[in-house]
Amino acid sequence: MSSQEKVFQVTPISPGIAIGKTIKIGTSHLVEHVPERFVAEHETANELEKFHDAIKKTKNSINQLKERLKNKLATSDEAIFDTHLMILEDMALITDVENLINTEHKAAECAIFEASERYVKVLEDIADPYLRERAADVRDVRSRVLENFHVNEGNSLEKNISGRRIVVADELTPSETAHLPQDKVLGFAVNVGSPTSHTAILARSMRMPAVVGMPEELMNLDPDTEIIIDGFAGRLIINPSDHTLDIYSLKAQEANDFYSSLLEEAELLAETQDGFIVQLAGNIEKLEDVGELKKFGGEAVGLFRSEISFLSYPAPPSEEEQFKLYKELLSRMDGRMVVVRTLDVGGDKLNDSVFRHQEQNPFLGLRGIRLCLKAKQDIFRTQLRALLRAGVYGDLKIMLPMLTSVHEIVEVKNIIEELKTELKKEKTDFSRKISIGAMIETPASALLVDHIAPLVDFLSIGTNDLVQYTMAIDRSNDLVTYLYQPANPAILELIGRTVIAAKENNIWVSVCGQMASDPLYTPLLLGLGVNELSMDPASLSIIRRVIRSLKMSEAEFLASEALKCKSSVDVRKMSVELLRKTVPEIADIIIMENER
Amino acid sequence: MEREVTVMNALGLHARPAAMIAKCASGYSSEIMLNKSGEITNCKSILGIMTLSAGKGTTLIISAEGDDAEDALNAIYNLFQTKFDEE
Repeated sequence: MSSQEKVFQVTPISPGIAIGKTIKIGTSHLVEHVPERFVAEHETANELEKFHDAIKKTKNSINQLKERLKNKLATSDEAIFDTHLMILEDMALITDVENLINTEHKAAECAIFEASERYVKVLEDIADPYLRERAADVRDVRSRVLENFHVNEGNSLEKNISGRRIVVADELTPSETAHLPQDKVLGFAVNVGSPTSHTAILARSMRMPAVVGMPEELMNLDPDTEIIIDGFAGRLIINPSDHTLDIYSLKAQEANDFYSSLLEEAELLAETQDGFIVQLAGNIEKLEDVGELKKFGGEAVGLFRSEISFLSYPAPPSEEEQFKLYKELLSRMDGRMVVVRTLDVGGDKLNDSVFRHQEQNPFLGLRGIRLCLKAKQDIFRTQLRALLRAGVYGDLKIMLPMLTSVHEIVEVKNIIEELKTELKKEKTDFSRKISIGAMIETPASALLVDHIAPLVDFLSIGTNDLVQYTMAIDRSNDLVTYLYQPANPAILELIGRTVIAAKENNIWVSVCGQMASDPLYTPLLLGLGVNELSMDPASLSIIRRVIRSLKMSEAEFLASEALKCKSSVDVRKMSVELLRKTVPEIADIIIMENER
Repeated sequence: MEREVTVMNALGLHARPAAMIAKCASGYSSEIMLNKSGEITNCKSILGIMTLSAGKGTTLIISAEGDDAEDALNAIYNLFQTKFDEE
């Protein structure tokens, strides 16, 4: 290492430090030129077909990528793919391409390139940096579409990377970034981009240190040259001296320590500073999820989505199949609690072979417990029998979804008693004292909770649906997602009521919606008096840290103040303040992700 | 049928508002256009709207023609009025 150390000031776009050798990725992946090609008039129909076919294929592959990254990205980041899908569906662009094919007889690939190039050029000239970034999205999508025409063969990033390296590129498109193999890429430095680019957002989601505005000479470096990228301070160092390496190794250690320390805390109790203990549980849907749950220190299964196993079978699984599944689940959880939510689907979710309803509005239709009691009681009974039998092998609890009346619970309890008598007669082993819990996820159930609580052994608040039904919004309709406000005082009021009813009846209460996995709401939920938080396993470590940094007295004060607020904005403000004070390291992370 | 509107949200017609307009406009059969001092784009095109590059304070004319023109015009107008729900 005789070369001189060089330090460059660059723009940090994703925090973290990476030290390592580089791998250069050229811009060949982006199609920047398509040779002009014309077709005969009788061939234009064929070119149009090729064009529409390519659009369709690209849409499919984006949808697949979106699905694959689903649990790795924040919901707001998934919007990147929606932008790409909208570009693919853009009416003006499609018309332009069709016109070029129809009237000028251009070949499809040529027409696609030319039509999109107009938008790229205009967008690149816009002063607003945020809009200018969208040019990259158009070029990215265009290149994906053109892949179907083989104008640009074979450039799999995955195949080209050997060992762990820092990726150096002139530019990385959002979908290339999403495709970077996380086990091989330490971080990346690119020339073109900005902190608001989708690439940057993705890098932050993937916890991959990244900088932009790298010096030109980096592109010409020997790949074996060592470099450092500092995604905190915005520095790029080529040929670091031993001294610099020492400093940065230490700094990298500190940064990485934070995330790994969270993992190391997996064994620790979720206990507040003043000694209040919260149970941390996981929402899972497959047997294989248990490993992940244990890795992050999940103490129980707070929600097993039983319908997922139904969806993977061509016909509803038999009693024996379900019995084996629940028994195996209990055994993998080593005797810890497993809450199984009974079949929670509507006509929209289960495909026609089983549930052939056409409903105008499935979210307000025959779903959850309604479907089980009214249309599909045979399937429901089979599931309950399997659960009763499996209950012998561990701490199994039954949870009922979509309740809106006391009568529904009474009906289910009657069915369970009938089934118990049946099983007794058959001399089949079953759990005589299985616990039954009510999901509070409709405004009606929250308002009736004083009547519901005495009938059940626990309550679990499903915040996703509770917010959706209370705010009267369809969560999948992005025109109203701004009203998806878990911290709305109306929601807090319903949660508060539920907790009070649970305490009065000496039963425990859990929150199993997305709200449980958002650190911003942890102090609120604790303060309101929730006993258990159940969430996707990967969120457990960060929530555990929040709980361990917090004082119950502070949380209770926050909750009582929040209940007096008139809007979700006020509640969020107070929650952010408390987080900033108690867990600044986490506040920094979530504020950064929420900023945009 | 047309109506004048001013971009009031802080970020202007960037990707998200453009997407909202395009999605909303696609729900109507009418031809809906945005006119920024002579530069005209179809409201059903997210790219068209983004390339208008209309920042805060820009005055635009929304025009609509077709069976549901009035509803369409109002719907798009309301998006601007509610600042595209930017908090």
